[in-house]
Amino acid sequence: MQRFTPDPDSPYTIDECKIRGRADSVSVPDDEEELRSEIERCFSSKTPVTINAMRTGLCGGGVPDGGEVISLERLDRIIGIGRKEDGYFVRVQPCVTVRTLRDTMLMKHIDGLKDVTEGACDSFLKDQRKFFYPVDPTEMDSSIGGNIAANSSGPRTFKYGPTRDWVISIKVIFSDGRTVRIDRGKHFASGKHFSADVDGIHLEFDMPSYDFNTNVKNAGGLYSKDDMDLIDVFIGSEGILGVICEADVLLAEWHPLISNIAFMPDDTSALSLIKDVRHDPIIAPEFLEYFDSGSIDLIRRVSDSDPTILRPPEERCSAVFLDMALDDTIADRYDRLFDLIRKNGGDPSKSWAGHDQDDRGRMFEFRHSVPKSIFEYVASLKEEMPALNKMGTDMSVPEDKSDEMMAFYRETLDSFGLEYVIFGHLGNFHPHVEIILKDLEDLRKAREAYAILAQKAVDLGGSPSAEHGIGKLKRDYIRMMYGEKGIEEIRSLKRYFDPEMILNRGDMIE
Amino acid sequence: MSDLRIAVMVKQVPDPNLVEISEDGRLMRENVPSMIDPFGKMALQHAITNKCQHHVDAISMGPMQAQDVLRKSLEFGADDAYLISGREFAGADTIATARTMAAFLSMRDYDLVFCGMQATDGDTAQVPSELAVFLGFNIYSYATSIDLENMTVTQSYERADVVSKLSLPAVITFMRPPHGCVQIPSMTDYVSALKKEIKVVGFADLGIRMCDTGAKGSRTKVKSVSTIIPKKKSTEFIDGADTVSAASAIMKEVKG
Ligand SMILES: Cc1cc2nc3c(=O)[nH]c(=O)nc-3n(C[C@H](O)[C@H](O)[C@H](O)COP(=O)(O)OP(=O)(O)OC[C@H]3O[C@@H](n4cnc5c(N)ncnc54)[C@H](O)[C@@H]3O)c2cc1C
Repeated sequence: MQRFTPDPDSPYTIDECKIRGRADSVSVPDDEEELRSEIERCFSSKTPVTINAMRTGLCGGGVPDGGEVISLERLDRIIGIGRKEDGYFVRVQPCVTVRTLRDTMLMKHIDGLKDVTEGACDSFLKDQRKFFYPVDPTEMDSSIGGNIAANSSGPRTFKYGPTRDWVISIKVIFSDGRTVRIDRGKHFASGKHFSADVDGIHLEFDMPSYDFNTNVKNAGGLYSKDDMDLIDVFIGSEGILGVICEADVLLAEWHPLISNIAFMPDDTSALSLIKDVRHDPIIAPEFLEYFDSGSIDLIRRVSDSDPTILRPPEERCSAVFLDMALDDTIADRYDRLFDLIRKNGGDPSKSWAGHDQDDRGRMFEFRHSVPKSIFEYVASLKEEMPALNKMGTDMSVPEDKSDEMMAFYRETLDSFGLEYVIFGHLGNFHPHVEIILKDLEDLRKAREAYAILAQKAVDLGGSPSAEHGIGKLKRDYIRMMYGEKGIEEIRSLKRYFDPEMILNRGDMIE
Repeated sequence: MSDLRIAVMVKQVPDPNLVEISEDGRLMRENVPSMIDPFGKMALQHAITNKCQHHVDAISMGPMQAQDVLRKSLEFGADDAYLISGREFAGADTIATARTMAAFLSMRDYDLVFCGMQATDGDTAQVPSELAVFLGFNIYSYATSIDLENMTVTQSYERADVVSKLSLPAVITFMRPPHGCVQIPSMTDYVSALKKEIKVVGFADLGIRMCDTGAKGSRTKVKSVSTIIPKKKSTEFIDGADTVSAASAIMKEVKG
């Protein structure tokens, strides 16, 4: 196992929110056994441990505040395939990336994988159907373990639900090194109380008394529901209760999709098209995103310097991205889509469609260039202003409050005189508002505005963190949701699993 | 010029980023996703960008799977698509390929034939010139842009761009995509492509002899392929304004 002291600018002390932490040491276990003994060692010496996977997190979850960083990067193997009912699941080590899992399964490159259930690999290979892992947290280089810790979701959540829905078994190492495998469907709470014998370990504890909001996309705090499944305690727990060292995730049957970008004259017409399309039974979109005119302006600027990025139309416009299943009914879907685009003032002949890997890949890069260029911009300012970090919202509200929230974003940020772009998953009423900071004064204003926006999202019955989690950056916002009592209950649950409070210290709660 | 008939020759090639070369120099195409040959795609983009009221056909010669690149061409806005396919055409070298395609093109009265400057699998760049010879068309190679309103074509001659008046009928080979061209099919073109059929043209439709096409009509056979590492050469440019003194300068150089 590699162990070293990180440099001040080490990649192990920062994640994609660009907050820089500090650590005394970094260890990189080669296998599960080394991981377990390293955690045990930290437990005995009461050394705080921060778990790092691919560090694409956006809320500082993997950013250490002293102590040791344990990087899971070498636990990156797909272990095997299992059969379940009519489909399959895959057993993975925690640091397998979403991209690797998707490509390996789609291409059926499964040489050397084990049968998790008898004959599964052979039957998977012979199956005429194609399968894939459908959760797509936009950042394809994030890890499955990180996704489980954050209960990640993404544009495909609109059709497939968040990570939680696809995890059927996990192996968790507690802070003292004890390890359990938890299978979905085996252990349930009675109300909020758990009393279960798992792998020879007796677990008995109470979940927080609040009811976790599942009416909206939500990654804010620990999941807590009456009669919940034990596995769900750990999914979305951001590594504060234990380290996930193995997981079984379900695969979905793959079908071809066609991606579309409808360019609309302005933000209002794009939002109105989204409303028309969202529940349309003929179009049945599988993915629905909004890009305001500011985002499209940004892409135009990116394509000036990077010709591999598709160039949007020259006239000012907004855009709606949607995927549809490519099947026999595709012509009817388009008839309907054209009607709705035209009704809202758009022109299908100036909009894009593509179904092959090349076209879809380029459309993906087109939309990804918005968050990517903002990350790069913030990173470039960081040298001059180390205190700067990215300020993007990740809030969701119920459907009937979506317009109100959208207007509130603009009103609030305009009143602070901040520059911003709005884009993202409007299928789930969850756009990202990226505030484009120019200096530290902007950062101060953005923090103030952010708190106002988060409170509004909570007041409207939504979540201040729909998909990125709480980490160290958004602790104040879960106080808005659960109050002091809720936070105290999370703390006492953490103390039950992690009595020395060494795991991911500072994440979710102080 | 109005109502020109334009043929665009597109070839299906294995994705160059994924294809490997076997020890005996063969391209290992098996299981490698294929794509529209990049230069052929540029030719198509020039045709579509300049389309207006002209008629654009996409044409490919290859196995039935090559329908994919024709479907793609239709999605990009081609009006019709033809696949020249059949066992008889297998193993055709450049001359047999050009002769076969010329037989088809000459039946359809085209004003312009757009090609990529070369296909990225064979890389010979021979087929377009051979097509021009068989069809009796003019040829404009290495074009970078074309203006069908003013009937001019711009060709890149390494150190200079040459703009010529276009004299029809002609074969044009393109080496660059048009400026600001569409990179993704429009929704409307995509949908009209759904309704179109790709017409398959066989040996019997062409009125050619067996000895003109396929392996039998080929004059060359690939024995092996190897990568040549070019020797460093220095090039001296001689001013050609005065041809006589330029010629004597060359003679002096050659004689030493
Ligand atoms: C451009 C971009 C776009 C993004 N878009 C989305 C999006 O659409 N939806 C979304 O949900 N997220 C998104 N993210 C955020 C990020 O990709 C996810 O949060 C992802 O799940 C993090 O995975 P990771 O492997 O990078 O984890 P890390 O960043 O390394 O860790 C994230 C957190 O999980 C903990 N952790 C990681 N692995 C484990 C484990 N095995 N056991 C216990 N705890 C663990 C870490 O300690 C940390 O607290 C985006 C990020 C970027 C950069």
